[in-house]
Amino acid sequence: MNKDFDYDVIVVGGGHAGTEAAAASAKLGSKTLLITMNINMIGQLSCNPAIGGVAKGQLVREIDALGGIMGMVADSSGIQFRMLNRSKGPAMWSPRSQNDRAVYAIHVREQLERIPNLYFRQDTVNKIVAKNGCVHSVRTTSGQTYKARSIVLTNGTFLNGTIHIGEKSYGGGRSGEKAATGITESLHAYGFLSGRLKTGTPPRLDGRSIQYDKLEIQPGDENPHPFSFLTKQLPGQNEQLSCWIAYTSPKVHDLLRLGFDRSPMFNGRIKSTGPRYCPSIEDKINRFKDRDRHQLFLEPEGRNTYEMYLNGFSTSLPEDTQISALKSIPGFEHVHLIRPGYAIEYDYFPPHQIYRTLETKLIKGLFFAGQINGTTGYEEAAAQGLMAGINAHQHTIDKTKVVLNRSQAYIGVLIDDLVNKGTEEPYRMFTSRAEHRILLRQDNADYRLTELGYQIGLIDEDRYLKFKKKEKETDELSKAISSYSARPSSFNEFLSLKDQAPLKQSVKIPKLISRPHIELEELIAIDPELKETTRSITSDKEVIEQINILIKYSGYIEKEQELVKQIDLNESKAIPKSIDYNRIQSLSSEGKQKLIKIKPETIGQASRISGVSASDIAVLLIYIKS
Amino acid sequence: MQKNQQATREMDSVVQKDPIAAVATAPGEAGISVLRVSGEQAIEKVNRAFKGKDLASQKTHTVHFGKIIDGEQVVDEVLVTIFRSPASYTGEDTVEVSCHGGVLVTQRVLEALLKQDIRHAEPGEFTQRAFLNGKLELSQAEAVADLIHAKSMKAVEAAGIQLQGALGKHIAQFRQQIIDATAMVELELDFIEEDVEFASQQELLALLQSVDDEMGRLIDTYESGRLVKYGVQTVFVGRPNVGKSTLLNTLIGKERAIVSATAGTTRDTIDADWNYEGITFTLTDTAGLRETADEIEAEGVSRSESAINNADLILFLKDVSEELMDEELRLLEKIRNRAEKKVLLHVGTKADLVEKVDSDLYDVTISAKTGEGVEELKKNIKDAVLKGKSIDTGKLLVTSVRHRDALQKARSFIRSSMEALQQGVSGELLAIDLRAALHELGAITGEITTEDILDSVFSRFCIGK
Repeated sequence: MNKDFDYDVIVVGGGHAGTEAAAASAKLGSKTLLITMNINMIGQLSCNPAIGGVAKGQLVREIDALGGIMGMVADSSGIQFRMLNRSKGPAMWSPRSQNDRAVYAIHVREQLERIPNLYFRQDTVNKIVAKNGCVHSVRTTSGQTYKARSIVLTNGTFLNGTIHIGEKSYGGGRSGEKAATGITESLHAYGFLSGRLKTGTPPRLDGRSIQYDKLEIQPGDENPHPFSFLTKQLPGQNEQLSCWIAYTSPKVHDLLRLGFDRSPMFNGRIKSTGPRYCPSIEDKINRFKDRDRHQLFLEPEGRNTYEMYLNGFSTSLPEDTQISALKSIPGFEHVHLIRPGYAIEYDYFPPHQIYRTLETKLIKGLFFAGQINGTTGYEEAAAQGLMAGINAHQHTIDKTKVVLNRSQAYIGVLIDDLVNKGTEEPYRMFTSRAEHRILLRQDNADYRLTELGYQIGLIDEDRYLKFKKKEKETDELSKAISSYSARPSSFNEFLSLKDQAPLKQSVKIPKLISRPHIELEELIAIDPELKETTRSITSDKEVIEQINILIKYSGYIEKEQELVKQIDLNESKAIPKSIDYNRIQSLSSEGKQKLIKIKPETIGQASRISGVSASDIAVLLIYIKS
Repeated sequence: MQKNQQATREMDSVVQKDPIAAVATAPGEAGISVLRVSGEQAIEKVNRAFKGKDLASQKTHTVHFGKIIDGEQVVDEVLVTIFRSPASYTGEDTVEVSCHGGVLVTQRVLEALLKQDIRHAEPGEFTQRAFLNGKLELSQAEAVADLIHAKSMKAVEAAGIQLQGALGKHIAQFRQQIIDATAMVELELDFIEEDVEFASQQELLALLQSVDDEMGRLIDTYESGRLVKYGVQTVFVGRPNVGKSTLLNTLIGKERAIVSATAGTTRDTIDADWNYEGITFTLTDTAGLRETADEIEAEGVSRSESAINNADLILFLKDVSEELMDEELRLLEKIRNRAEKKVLLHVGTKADLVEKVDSDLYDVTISAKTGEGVEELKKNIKDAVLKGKSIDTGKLLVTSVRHRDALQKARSFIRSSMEALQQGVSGELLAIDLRAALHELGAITGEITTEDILDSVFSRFCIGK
């Protein structure tokens, strides 16, 4: 067989899932081919020019801790950085960046091109071939066959994609790009089920035509936090660009309504489900009739362009309606539209068809990641891509695949939710989906996952040693602080300034920090001896912040860890793949159906499937004991 | 091979979970009932409701005699067996409490245990723990599984029927209110960037307060709910031969107790059910409480005392033709000491023997012979038990201790969240309490998922940056 057509791993698609998957499997040593329809579109931010946000920022920190590329690229291409939810507890802090769209894609490409085992090919896959239940190869429209032991599908919105703008609709995977056909159909032949989802994107505007003095400004943070452990200095930190806030008005709503009869959303042309948390502007007006204005965010697309992205104005109304409504937004009177908003419908494969390794249940060695599993968002896609890439590699060398638990990472929550609960609308991560979110913080992502990333092989020696040093300093400082007595004479003046009760006798430092509004950093600044103790252990501000958080949250963290310990017990009880639920008499009929459909791998996973009762679990436990 | 498996099983570390309790024997009248408590600190927690030896310092596989107490009150005399981890059914520290048979006594013992920070077990939970700790052989286990399943299906069915009624509607309402409160909290956490108005502290507090109040009211119905479900335990006491057995026979309309003029004829307690206006009264005729040297009679007297302890309603009978005796005064004293929550009715008997009764001494006077006053007594009994309220069985009544338990726990989390809210604690920490409350309610309504909370957010707020 020709070596140019024979690989360990093939990744179909060059978006956020595809690039993470290709990078991971190639770095781990698999000869990897990334096939994409247009090689110039690798690493595109197809929707908003931003990375992170609430719950998504946590995902990016986890991807980085495991050795993925998204964090590094978001840092290096960032033009604005903010830590959202700062007023809440640390579990809620969420980093977010605005990014230069063009630079982002270039930097993704650069990251990939540094990896020796990674090959690129511009071609369009139109068929997946399996033999004896194992994945075999992909065929392309150019008539080629590419073979591999593992294949990862990351097709985004391209599978039978249909773009809608007003009464126009046409095949396409993204504005200006063709759809991919054939893949869905070839998977149907192997017994896969597919569904349709919908998403949308807002218009892009010419920034030179906007009157910014009529808008509210939203600048970046002064001391931004990078996503990646490896980023020491954010290149864009000192010249951050601002976003702008605009509002619709009743007049804008009236103008938009004029186009409703030609809207594919309302005239029945779009039948599939869109995300409720990311509705189109026409949906918002329709569903929340009492609101006389909606907030819009105008986001810069990059440093070298005037193009602006109008977040919150996703629409598939006719182009003329879009233009007239836009022009009645205060500040947009003379606006020039560069690209209209549109809706897109695409195929996805309901995710009960994959295992938590992201491998499909029907075909061994075939993996799905990203929107093909019903998710939305760059971060959700990248997280799956990373895990699919790792497991595609593990598959080629017959090694155990990696699954993250719900108590370990948002990535674990994401994949577990998909597999066990399925999704009928595009799935986006929220912190409320993570029952252990107190433990899954952006600040401790490195502490949670670097060790695992190192074991998998995506974290190199140099980074690992740096992390171990940080970990050691954290331990040592924590011990030193716990035994350090704060004397009333050193701190009472500071406490009275903060309207806090003075100390009557010496207390250990953690006792002081557990008071509200008292930070370790402040205490260090006040007490020279404490400063000296700290300095002898670490000069890393993140270490000091980590300890501050651990002390402030300690009661909650301990309670949560206790819960996790109990849950992990069930998590460690594996259900054999050979189990035949039909033979288990005592299962309830609903429980039986769900178990057959989802094929849980552990008792813990089974217990999270709705319809599987406590008694079904007891029955299962008995059977797996045999 | 077999041996190897055994060894692995024993090497599995035993993990002790939070303590749970349930009645282990079949419900119904029987000589004894056994309650099982298993989990971390099970022995220490039962010890707190136990009067006798210090259970915490007893060895495994030992049996101890003592009393289960609820506060100051003695609930029952029991035998307690201690099993220390891993040598128990579940592998955890376990206590088995053998108490006197009988639905009510068992229920009371269970309630006393549940007050010690022990939770009511879910169906099959003991067995589940036993499996997790590698304590059950497959063949045994399979038999148990069928049993669990049959039982839990029944429990679900029963709960289903109950939940179709007004109680179900009420609990569904709590569920929705707490989901909405959680949604308000989550809104501010997950959708900080959205242009929506976040709930004010007052608004949230008011919502939680109304849940707290309503839950309190519902929990309070458990007392009358229990009366409907288990009946009113009614005890006849009085000196020998004041006519207790005669009155019992009169009420139930048949000869159940042997009646004779010889004092002390009733040597054991006698039970009979009497239905009156939809309420079942379990009538217990006691041996006359008198100081005696007769051994058998003495045993009867001691059982009478325990019947008094378990009674909801005590009918104190006195022969109106006789003077109040010292013995009776002491008896009344005894009853009053134990009868804080119990209803006590003074009944004058044998009214036909005197011409005029000093009505200040009695709530009602009767003559079983002429039938005089019997109807009035019945009415008095009903009024005394219901305290003027009417029991509408189609209405809100919590009758299951499991439901009451879940409601109480949910309520304590609601209260804790209100406290946290007033202290200005951040939302993600408030959410922990609210979700815990939902989880407790889930024991009644079925699991409540994140999706329920997000549904509430999306249906009420315009999300979509």
